[in-house]
Amino acid sequence: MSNKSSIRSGLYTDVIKVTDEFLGPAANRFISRKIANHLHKEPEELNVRDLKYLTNWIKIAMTLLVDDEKIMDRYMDSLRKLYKKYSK
Amino acid sequence: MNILKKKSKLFYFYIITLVVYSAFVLIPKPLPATLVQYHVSALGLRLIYVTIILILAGIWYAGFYGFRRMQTYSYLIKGDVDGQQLARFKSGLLILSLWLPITTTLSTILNYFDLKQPGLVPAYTIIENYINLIIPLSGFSYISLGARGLTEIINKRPSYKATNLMFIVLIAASLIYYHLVATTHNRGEVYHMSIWFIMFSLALPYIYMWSIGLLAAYEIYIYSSKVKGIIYRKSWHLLDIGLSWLILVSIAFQYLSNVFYDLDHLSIYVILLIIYSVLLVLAIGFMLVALGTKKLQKIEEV
Repeated sequence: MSNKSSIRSGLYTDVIKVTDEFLGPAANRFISRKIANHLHKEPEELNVRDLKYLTNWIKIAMTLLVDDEKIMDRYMDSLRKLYKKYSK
Repeated sequence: MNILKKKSKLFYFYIITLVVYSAFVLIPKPLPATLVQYHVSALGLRLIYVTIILILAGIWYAGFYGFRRMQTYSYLIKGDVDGQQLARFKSGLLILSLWLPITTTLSTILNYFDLKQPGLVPAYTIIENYINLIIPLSGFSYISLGARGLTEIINKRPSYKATNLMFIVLIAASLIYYHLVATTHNRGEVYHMSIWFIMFSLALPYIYMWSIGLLAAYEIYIYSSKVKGIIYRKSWHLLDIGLSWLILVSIAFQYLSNVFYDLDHLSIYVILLIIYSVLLVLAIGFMLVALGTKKLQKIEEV
C-alpha cells in the first residue's frame, strides 16, 4: 500500500470515528452510503478534497435526523477539524 | 410502505385465519346455555362476536405491521453486527405476531369440535395448552438470542444487583404460579394431565420463557442506553420500550391466562373488557416496535 492510499484510508477511518460518536453502529453504513451516492467512490478512495463536499451532504442528511442544534454543531466542528488536520 | 403486500404469504395467512376464525365463531348456532348465561339473544351474541372479530383483525394487523417494519430495517443492515441481532428480533417478532392468530383460531376450531366430540376434549385441551406454550417460547428464544448478541457488541453484561433482583422477582412469580396451578379446584378439566406432568412440561417451560424474556428486556435496555452514538441511541430508545413492552405484556398475558382461566362467573361485558384491554395493550407494544424501527430506519435512508 502506498503512503497516499494509507492517508486516504486513514481519512476514511477518522471520518467514521467522528461519526461513531453520533451514529454508533450505523456510522459506517451512513458514511459509506454518502460516499457512494454523492461522490460515486469507494470509501477507501475518499480524499481531503472530497471532505468539504461530503460534509455538506452529511449536514443535509443530519438535519433530517437531529433537532438538537448543539449535537449538529459538534458533529460539524469535528468534521471541520478533520479537514484542517488533513489539509496541512 | 405496503405492510401486508397483496399476494404475500403473510397477507394470505392474515386473510385465511380471519375468515376461518369468523366462520367458526359466527356460523354455529349459539348454545342456549350461553345465551341464558350472558343474558343476550342469538343476534346480540353474534353482534358481540363481530366486534371481537374487528378488534382482533386490528390487533393481528398491528402485530404484522410491527414485524414488517422490523423486517425492512433488518434487511437494510443485514450485513452488519447489529443487523444479525435485528434479524433475530425479526424472527422473534414474526413468531409473536403469528401467536395470537394461530392460537385464537385454533382454540375456536377446537371449541367447535369439543361440542361435537366430547370424548376428544382432553386431547384438544392438551394440544391447545402446548401450542400456547411452544409458539411464544420460540419467539422469546429468538428475541433473547438477539438481545444477548446486542450486549456482546457493546461488551456490557447485566449488573450483579439487577440480576439478583430479577432472580427474586422470578422466584416469587414462579412460586405463586406453582401454588395457583397446583391448588386449582378443577385442575383436571383445565390440563387433563397429572400434576408432575403439568409442572415439568408446562410450568417449567413457562417459567423458563419468562426468565429469558425478562433478561432479554433488560439486555435490550442495556444496549439502548450504553451503545455508542447519541443519535442512534436516541432512536433505539423507542424500540427498546416497544420490545420490552411486548415481552412484559406477553408474560403478563400468559401468566394471567394460565392463572385466571375460569371467568365464566363474570358478565360477558366484563370478560370482553378484560380481553379487549389485554389485547390492545399487546397491540400497543407492536406499534411501539414499529415506530421505534421507523426511527432507526430513517438513519439508514437519509
